[in-house]
Amino acid sequence: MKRILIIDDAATVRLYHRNILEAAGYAVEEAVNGIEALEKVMQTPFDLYVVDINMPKLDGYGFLKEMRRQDIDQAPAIMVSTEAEADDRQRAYRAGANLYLIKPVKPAELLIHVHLLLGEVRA
Amino acid sequence: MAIIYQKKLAVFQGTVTVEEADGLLEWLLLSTNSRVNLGECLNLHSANLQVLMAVKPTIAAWPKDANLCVWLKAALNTNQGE
Amino acid sequence: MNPLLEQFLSEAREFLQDIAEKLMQLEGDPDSTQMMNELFRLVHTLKGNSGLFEFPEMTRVLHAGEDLLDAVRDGRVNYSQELADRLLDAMDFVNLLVDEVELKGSTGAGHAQNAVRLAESLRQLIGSAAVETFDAADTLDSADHKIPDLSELTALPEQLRMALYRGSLNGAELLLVEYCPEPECFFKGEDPFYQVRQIPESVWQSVQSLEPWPQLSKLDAYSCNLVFRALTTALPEELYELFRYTPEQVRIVPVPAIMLVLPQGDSNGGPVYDDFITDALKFLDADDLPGLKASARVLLAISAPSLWLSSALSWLLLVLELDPDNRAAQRTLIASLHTLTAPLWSTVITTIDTVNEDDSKPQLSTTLCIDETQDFDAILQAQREILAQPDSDLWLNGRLTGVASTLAACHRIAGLTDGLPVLSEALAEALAQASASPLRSWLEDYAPQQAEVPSAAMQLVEAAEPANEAVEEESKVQLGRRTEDIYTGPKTLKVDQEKIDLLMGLIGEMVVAKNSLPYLAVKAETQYGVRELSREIKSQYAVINRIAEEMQDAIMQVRMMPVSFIFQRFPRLVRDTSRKLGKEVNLFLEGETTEIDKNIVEALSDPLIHIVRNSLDHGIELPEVRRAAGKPEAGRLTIRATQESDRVYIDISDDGKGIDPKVIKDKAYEKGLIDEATLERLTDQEALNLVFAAGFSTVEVISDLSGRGVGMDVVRNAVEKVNGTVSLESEAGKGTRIRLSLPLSMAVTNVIIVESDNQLFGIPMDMVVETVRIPRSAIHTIKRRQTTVLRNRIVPLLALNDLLALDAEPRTNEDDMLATLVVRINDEHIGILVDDFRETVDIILKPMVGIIGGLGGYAGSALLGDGSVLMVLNPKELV
Repeated sequence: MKRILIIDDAATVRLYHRNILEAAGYAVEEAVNGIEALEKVMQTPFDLYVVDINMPKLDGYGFLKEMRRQDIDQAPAIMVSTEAEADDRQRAYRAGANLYLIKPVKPAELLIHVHLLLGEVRA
Repeated sequence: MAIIYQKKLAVFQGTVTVEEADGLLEWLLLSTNSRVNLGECLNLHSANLQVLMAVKPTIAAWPKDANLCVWLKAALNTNQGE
Repeated sequence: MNPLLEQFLSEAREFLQDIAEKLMQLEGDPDSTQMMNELFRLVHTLKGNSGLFEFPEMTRVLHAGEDLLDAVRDGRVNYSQELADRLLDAMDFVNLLVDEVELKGSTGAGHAQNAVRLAESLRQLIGSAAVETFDAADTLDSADHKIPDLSELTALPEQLRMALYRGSLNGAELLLVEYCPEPECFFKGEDPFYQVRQIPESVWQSVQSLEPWPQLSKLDAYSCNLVFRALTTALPEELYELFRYTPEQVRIVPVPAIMLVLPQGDSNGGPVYDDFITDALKFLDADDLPGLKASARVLLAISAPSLWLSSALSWLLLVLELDPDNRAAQRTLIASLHTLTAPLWSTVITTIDTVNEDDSKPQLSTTLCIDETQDFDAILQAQREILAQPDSDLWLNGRLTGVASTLAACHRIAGLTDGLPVLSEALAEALAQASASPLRSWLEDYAPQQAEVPSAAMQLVEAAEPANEAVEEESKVQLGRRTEDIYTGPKTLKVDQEKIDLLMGLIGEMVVAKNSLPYLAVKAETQYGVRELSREIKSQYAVINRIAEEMQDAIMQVRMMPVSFIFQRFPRLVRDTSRKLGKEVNLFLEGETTEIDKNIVEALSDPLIHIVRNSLDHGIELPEVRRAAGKPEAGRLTIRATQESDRVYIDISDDGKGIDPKVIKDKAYEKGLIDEATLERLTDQEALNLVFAAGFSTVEVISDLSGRGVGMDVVRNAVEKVNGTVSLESEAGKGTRIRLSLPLSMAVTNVIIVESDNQLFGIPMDMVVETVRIPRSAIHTIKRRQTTVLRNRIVPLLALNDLLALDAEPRTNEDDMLATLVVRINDEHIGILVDDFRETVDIILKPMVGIIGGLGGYAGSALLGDGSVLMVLNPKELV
């Protein structure tokens, strides 16, 4: 079972994503900020990250940069944000995200992307 | 009555509602070689449609209503189940 | 915006907030049945409200939520975190719709799929009872079949198909509608055949049986076994709108133009066109389209028009003309001359690869559906942008590795494996050079920007886009609204109810405070002997008094709302409900401008809806029945509001079948609500009143309309909560009238002060019928109860001292008359003997707290102008 880490300070958003992903058969874990996320990743890396931008302590950009820089994990990461600004997208890409989606991400949309990023061949 | 049953011919008129379906099926089962005249039919409830599709009686006249006619022909002329 | 909608919105928001709060609270206390019941009620009511509007998506989701909570209440399903999560999700969705309604006045049909998904995710938790289980994976699975096999399209005349093909490439998108109604749909009043006939611009129709028809003797005409399909050039929105109520049963799929390219005709002679095929492919490879066209025209000219060959050539020419860059399609078409069978476009489309020049061996091992193709492209585009970021970052290597793993993953799933070994090389090189360029060139080689080479797959994407775009556009609008300040100046000022309540409380205190001035005036004169000052205080008091009263009135006015707020819902409710029931009902609304306090209006809305539904459901008969009974076919339902002094009456009367007291009695006995002795003794009116008893519901089968067991007792409780009363009159065969009697306002209570055993008590005036003095001689003892006769009515008498357990006899005045306060309790008049009457005052009633709060008999306390505390009695509990 592929493992996905949801990093978001908003419980509702975490639940939202968790529901979608779990329903599709993924093992989901949560972190409420970048620091907690890094701690989790250092224990065991995940197959995919769904990262919010604005979070207390360490934000999504910081988390991704740190993870990429320290070679903690290089698995695909989706950055999820409410901002549709091109600047933010570029910033996310620079920080190490592999995809940038606008909230609220529709379940089917999220699933297809997750599916593709995990390179899973359907049965 | 939206369906007038003659000896070997059922004449559909105006709107044929869902309630007619049982009677129609019964009549079709009782009389062999029966025919239906849809000429004056304007609306046909799905329940009646499927009775016609299943029993496949001879269509003596197709509806004058163009939209109904085209759909009915699609349903009754190619009557293959899956 | 129409006030009803406005009302709905603000109510919906409150409900949603309450629902969320309750869900949270339940997490801490999952076994609280009270909380669960309250939660159920909230969702139930919100669903009912939404049903009054055209918000099918909202209703669908709320309905599922309601069913789920119902299951929890009944113990069929256990409360769980998961359940709370899903409900919260569902409520988020409802909130989203509420936002949209506020913004646009309606909800778009675009939410239908989400509504279905959410409703299913809720129903899934009900378990065995679930109609369909939802699995997110299903979405993807069904996506696999998105490009339907439409070989039957050969049934369409070639000319028509060619015209459609031309139109489709010119933007008149062709959609396939596939409608598979559920077997029991006829019982829900649906007529799928009628429905599909409303599909606009349909160019092709098909009706088939879902399962093969059974033996005719076993045929069930009322179980729908049909599958409808149609091709149409209508707009997707029109179709979503048309199938709005059954989105889960309908598939609307864009049909790529190429699907229409189906050569047909006589395959006479067999495949003898090999020379042509070789030449044609050469032309194609050399990009010599004119040459290919010329060659095709020559062959077409010498072939009989009825041949399959001629048809294929005509199509080839058409494709060359209209879609000259679609090499894959052209190639496939030419290749089909080998076999003389129409190409299976549904496979071809998905296996086209832009880089692939070898058409004999499709490169993609697995295929992508439209959505995936689109998202695949989006991911590639994102990687391109990532690789365009500066190389100077410290975490560059991590970023590059991330890109490489992303590219590997999605190429693998797309079946594009050729580039994968090279990809690792490119990554190694990129890491060594600390530069993104090796990966960039890899992308150039293995996934060039598709915009430069349009392929059939790309067109597919485009074809699929309009609908999606509309949805995205929609969500953007909503996002924009949340984050930005699209502020349209409101005509009315919305004020938080709490602020009004605060004002109300303050004015109440002011009224009380000003009441102290007369005392002060008296004190000034008697105690300090300053008569002048006393008079001045009195005149100032008059001014303050007037202002305070006006202020009070003004604030009360703010809180007053016309009952039309609730009445407005009824025409629609009655129309829809009666239609569902197959009844004819004429609704008459009277006194809509009657105003009443907001709290009361709000408290009234549920009970009224319930009463009206009851009336429609159980009161008014079916037209046949009415005709047989000699009544007009259309029933009459009247809702009338009238104001009489400080009370508002709302009467709901129908001319239906009425209530048979005997049935009520039997039912109550059956349910153990009354014993045999009571059964014998009850009068008809008393029997009718039993419908208000807790646990009583006259109809065994819980109907869809009246809801589930929210009985008349709930109505009574809701009305009594705002100091109202409800009464019922009914005559079997003639009809039923339910009367709600309500206070005009609930903020200020008008009480009469009475004296008994040297103490003062207040009694709410809304319970007092009259105050009389009765000569001791007019008191009779009947069956050991003291009674008297007032206006031809026997009125039992009770001494307040006895009721309060005060050890004193009621005092008479000098004429040996007893002061008697006649109060109305459950429509019965009762005389309460007190020592004396005092004035009436307006007070702000404060509920009792602490130990006294637990005692029945007290409605609360109030501060009087002289600073003393008045205990206000609740005769209803006292008696």
